[in-house]
Parts: sequence; structure tokens; C-alpha cells
Amino acid sequence: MGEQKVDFITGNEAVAYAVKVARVQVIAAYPITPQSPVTEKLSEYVANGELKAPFIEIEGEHSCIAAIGSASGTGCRVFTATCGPGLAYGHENVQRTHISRFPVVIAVPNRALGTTIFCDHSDTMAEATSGWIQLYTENSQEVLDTVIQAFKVAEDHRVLMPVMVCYDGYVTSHTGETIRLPAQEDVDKFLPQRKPLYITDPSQPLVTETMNIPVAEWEHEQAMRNAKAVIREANEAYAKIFGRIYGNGLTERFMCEGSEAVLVTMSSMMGTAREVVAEMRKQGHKIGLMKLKSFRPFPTEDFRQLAREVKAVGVLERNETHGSGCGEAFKEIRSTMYGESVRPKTIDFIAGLGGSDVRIQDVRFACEKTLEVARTGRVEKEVYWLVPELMAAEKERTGAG
Amino acid sequence: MSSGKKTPQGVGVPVTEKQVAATKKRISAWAWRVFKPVFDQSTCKMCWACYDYCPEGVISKSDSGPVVDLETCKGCGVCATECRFKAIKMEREER
Amino acid sequence: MAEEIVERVTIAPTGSCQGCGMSLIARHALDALGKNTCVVIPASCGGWAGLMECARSPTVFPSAAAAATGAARGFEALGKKVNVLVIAGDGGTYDIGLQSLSGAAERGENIIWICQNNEAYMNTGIQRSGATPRWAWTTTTPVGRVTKGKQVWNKDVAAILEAHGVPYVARASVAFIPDFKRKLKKAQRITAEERRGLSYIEVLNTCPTGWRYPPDQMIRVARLAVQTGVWPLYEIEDGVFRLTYRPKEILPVAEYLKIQGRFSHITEEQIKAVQARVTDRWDKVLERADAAGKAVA
Repeated sequence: MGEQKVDFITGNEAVAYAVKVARVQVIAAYPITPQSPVTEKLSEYVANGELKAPFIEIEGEHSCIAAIGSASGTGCRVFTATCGPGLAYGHENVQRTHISRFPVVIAVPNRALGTTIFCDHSDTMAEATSGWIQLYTENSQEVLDTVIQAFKVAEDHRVLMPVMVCYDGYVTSHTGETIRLPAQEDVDKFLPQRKPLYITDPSQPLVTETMNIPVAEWEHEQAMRNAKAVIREANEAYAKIFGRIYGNGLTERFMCEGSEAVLVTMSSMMGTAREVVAEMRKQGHKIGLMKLKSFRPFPTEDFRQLAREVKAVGVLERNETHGSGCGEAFKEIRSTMYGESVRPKTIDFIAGLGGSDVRIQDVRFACEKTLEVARTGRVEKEVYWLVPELMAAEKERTGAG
Repeated sequence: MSSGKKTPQGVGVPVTEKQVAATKKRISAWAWRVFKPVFDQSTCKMCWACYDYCPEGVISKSDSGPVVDLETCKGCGVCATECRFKAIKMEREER
Repeated sequence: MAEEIVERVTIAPTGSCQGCGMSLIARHALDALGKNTCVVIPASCGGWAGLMECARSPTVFPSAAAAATGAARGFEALGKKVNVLVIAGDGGTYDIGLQSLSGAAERGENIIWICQNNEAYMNTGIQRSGATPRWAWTTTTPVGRVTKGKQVWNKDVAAILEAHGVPYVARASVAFIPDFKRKLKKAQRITAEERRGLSYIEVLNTCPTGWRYPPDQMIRVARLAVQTGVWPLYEIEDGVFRLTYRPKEILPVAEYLKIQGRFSHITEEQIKAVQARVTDRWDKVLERADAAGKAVA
């Protein structure tokens, strides 16, 4: 294995580096905070000849997704990054990217939909029914590694579905971390040149799109199911070359052995949660932690297994559904475990909306509440909003928190 | 569009446009056309305005003059209107 | 007319109406460019242009220019020489497609853009567009008791493209096929071969269904549009204006309006207003042509 240079860079720079070593062939991008440094870095690479790809300074995200979809159709490896309102603007094209089965990878430094530039997962949660694989990463190293793996997953003929690699806006995108940069020759071994199954070419005029025939939609669902195995394989193959593994690629367990309750969380909150759980374990509390990395395809098997092991599952997530009373991950997890003959109790903790901090004490609160449910077998409240004002009121009400 | 053929990995292989055409049930224009063009080859000066202006492109050039594919001709009448030698007449189809 | 070997790209039947100008435009455009073409057709009547023996890149209504951009850059990245052609309607050019078209034009994408302008959203049921002429009936500017037809003048997107400084802008007509083909060949040379940026050709598609007149009159209406000065045939190559057809006499615009059912409610006063506008614009065209000294009679 070649030397992995150690550097101190931001999440955005890490993404740009991954795109470079993945030898992407066509890039289109429109700036949007907090993604802009990715596009700036990529245009620098292109301007310096370090990355031999046209950088299409597209005039908007709706056009951006269309452009990279068509470019992928010609057989190129393509990339863009967008988030928040930009992803929402591209929604029409995001919803139909998977129909032609041309692989596309995008990076999303999660930004809340609404009038803020800061992080929550409302942007990508709104695209959870779009037919994109969605992988949430915890830190800059993981997003770099996952972007490279994403190309391998998307281009696999068992999958051929587009991939969104998510990382927290500002929290991960703009903070510097010490990370290891994979060497080009090793990435080439892991990720060879794309071999398209079929392409748009005058020599073979193909009809690569249909009017949503149900049978085709079923094929897409099959592809999503195949993707679970392909993601796991890519995770392992990557670890063999670069020495870093992320659970099984779909989820990752942390200190779950002998736990009574497990807290599930996503993205950068995982980093904070590791600290809390490690501390609580030292204090003798039987709490475990699980990272939900692959939101799509949803790792149903991992959660069914978890259901058989613990008495309570807490879900700490950075989004909410405006009307179903809880968050998206809670719904998925609960629904997945519903079919088990013995079901753990489940509670939801909504935190970090609109970029608000997810503090040590918030994660601690979630862990303690989940443990309490495991011990008493009673759920007093199903959904907690970890918002300081509401928590203060809760504290007054119960004398706890 | 799935050709019904799948790769070993279960991916539907798309079809070509020609294959799409072959699967469609073609209803011949004979079934619904009201007027059809009739060419008087003796009057025709082979200027090929009809060939140029036919919206369907169903007029082809032969050494003896224009030949129309009546399977697909819609009977719109543009050719007859544009023929400045009056070599084309629109005749009502008989049923 | 000279006999030319033509590789037919489109395959009849089309799904379009009787007497459809769009089918004609698509056929001649693809015949001129040949099979080594990737065509992008957004939502429009163009979707009914029949089978095409060339590559196609699917897209949504606003994104024709974006999809064409991706295809053009993708082929280029792979070292392939392919004509990238868009056949969009006035909706996909003037209104919902204008943003992405503007972006592609400004970036100098090597796309040949044909706008088949039938002056309304015909494919979805004759709703008005930014290209619909003033006082025309459409299903969203109907003739009622209070308002009759579209209340505002249409815009000039060819002028917008000219303002972008693209290397080739032209107006063509289905009634003038050799002129149209010549312009297509020019666009192919400038865009696909010399790769100097976007070529824009706008063709008036005199739609019998939406304009309300019998289909066999389609070419005649198109010819009248040119002969009344409503649709001047010109090209602007690298900023140089050239009038490619100069009618011997300009006919009154009333002759053009009165054969179209969509103007059946138009008043004499309104016809006068249209005439004044058409005359003013035609005079300006002549001025430009004469100034350039390159008017082709």
C-alpha cells in the first residue's frame, strides 16, 4: 500500500480530494453555503490540471442534476455537491435520476431547508423517497473514504443507483481534522475505470427511460436491496487496502456488548455520542451506541437483530417530520422492529434542528432516558425535543433532566 | 425501458427505439384516414416540393416520381396544396 | 432541386397532428445532421416526432439545455465527436427552459438549439406561452366577455440569444426548406465541428391545431408569416446580421391574421396595432440588413 499522507483539512477539502483521486470525468456545480469550498477546490484542481475533467459552472442546481445525469449517460464518472435549498431546487431531477440507472454520486453537506445556512438533515430526509442511496458520515475521514466507496457502489452492475454521501454542514464541512489521504495508485486499485452497462451513444440508440412502469420501479427496489451487500463489500474491500472500516458499512456498533439499551444516532452527533457512552459505561451504565450510516437502503436486518438484544432503543436524530410527531429515523426503526415477536420500547430525541448545537448534556439526557425506559419498561413520553426552552420546561415538570 | 431481458445482476436491459416500435401495435393509417393523396405522374415535374413539405416524411423519391407510403400517410393535404403544378389531388377514402 | 444523399434518421409514423410543422422540422433537422447525433427533446410536441435512429438523452421540461450540456461535455470528455441537438418548443425555450438555455449559451456549450415555436404550449392543450402573439386565443387566454385573447405582446428570445453573444442565431421557416437546411448546416459547422459555442435556430411552427385552420394550409400560413414581415428570415453569424430572404413586397398582416381561427375575434383596431408593430420591426430589420450591406434578395 502506498503512503497515506497525513494532512489537516476540512470536510469540504476532504470531499474534493476524494473526487480528485476517484478520477471523476465530468463535474457540474453551483455554489451554495456550506458546499462552496468543495466547488472552489475542484475548480482549482481543474484549473491546475490536477483533475482532468470539465468543470461545468452550471447556472443552478436543477440544471446541475440534469447535466450530470446526462453526462453519466454518455459513460462518464460524474460528481456534484449541493445541499439545503439547492438540493430542494434540484428535486425534480433528483427524483428521476435513478430511472435511467446511470450512476451518479453527490456529496451533501447537510443544510436545513428554510431560512438558515446551518445544519440539520431536513434537506436529505426530504429526498428519502427519491431512489438515491443515502449514506450519513460522521467526520471528514469518513466522508472522504465514503465518497470513494460511493462510486464503486453506484457503478456496480448489481446496483446502478445514484448515491448521496451526507456530512454535517459546518460541523464537518468547515472544521479541520487530521486525516489520512489515500494515495492515487491505491485508489486506482480499489476503484478502476467505470464499466458502463449501457450508454447513450449514436451507434446504439437506446430508450433509457420509461414512463414509470411499475415493473421498472420494482427493479429499482431490487437494486436497493442488492445495494446493502454491495455497500458491505465496498466497506470491507476498502478496509483491506486503507485500514479503515466503518462498522459493516450500513451501521456501526459501539460498546453494545451486554447493553440493556442502545442509542441510535447519525452523522456528527455520533462523535459526541461516543464520548458520552464511553463515560457512562465507565460509570457502570449498560448503554450501547449504534450509528445509522445507510439510511437508504435501510438496514432492516441490523435493526431486527438489535430488537432481539435490547429492551429499549433511543433514536437521536437531526430532523423532524412537521406533522407525524416524530423524526424520520424513528419511524423507520420502529417500523422495522414492529414485526419482531419481542419488541424493544422506542423513544425519539429530536435535536440539532436548524444548526443548533447537540451538546454532551443533550446526548446524556437521551442515553439516560433510554436506559430508564429499558429498566422500568414504561414509556412516559415517546418524543423529546432537545431544545433548551422545552427541556427547561420538562425539567420543571419532572424535576429530572 | 426493459426489454424483458435481464443481466445476471437483475438489471433490465434497455431496448432500442426500433425494438420499441416493433412492440407497438401499429394501426395502419388506412383505418382512419379521410383523404389520401393521388399523384398524377404525367403532370408531375419532380420539383420535390411535396417531398420537402410532407410533415410525416412519407413521400419518397423514385425515378418515376413521388411515391407515398399509405400505411403512414395521414392525409393532411399539405402536398396537394403546395404542388404548384396541381399534380396531386386529395381523394376521399372509400369505406 | 439538387439531389442529395440523405441518411433518414426519423422513422414515420409520428404521433403528431395532421399537418404538423414540428414533424417537418425534426425530420429536416435530423436529416441535415445525420445519425451521429444525440438529441434532447424536453416536454413538447417534439416528443411525438416519431422514432429517431440516433442517441437520445431524456430530460424534464426546464432542463433541455442542462441535459444537452451534460451530454455534450460527456462526449467530449470521452473523446467522441457527436452532434448534440435540442429540439425544444417555445415553452422549453422562452419560458420554463429559458434559464438553463441562458446558462448554456453564456458558457458556450456546443449545442445546436432548435426552437420549434408554435406560439403556445400545444402539447398539453394549447395553453399560452411567452411566445403567444397578442390577442391570440389560447385555452388560458380564452375569448370571453371581459377579455378576448392574450393581453400582452410576446417576447423575442432570438434577440435575447443574440445579446448573449452566441456565434449563430437564426430564424427559419418550414415554408423555406432550403434556407432552413442551409442554416442547419451552418450551425453544424460552427457548433459541432468548430466547437465555438451554441447555435440557435428558431423555426416558426404554424400549428393547424392550435392556430385553428385546416391542416393542408400549414405551409401557406408559414409562407404568409414571412411575406407579411411577421417572421423575418435572418441569421446573425458572429454578430454580423444577414437577411436571408427579402420578399419583393410586404403583404398586409391582416392576410396572415384572418386565416387563423385563433384571431377570429380580432378587431380592426387591434389589427392596426399589430400592423404598426410589425411594420416598425420590419423597418428595423431592413435598416440592419442594409447597414450590414449583406441583404440577400
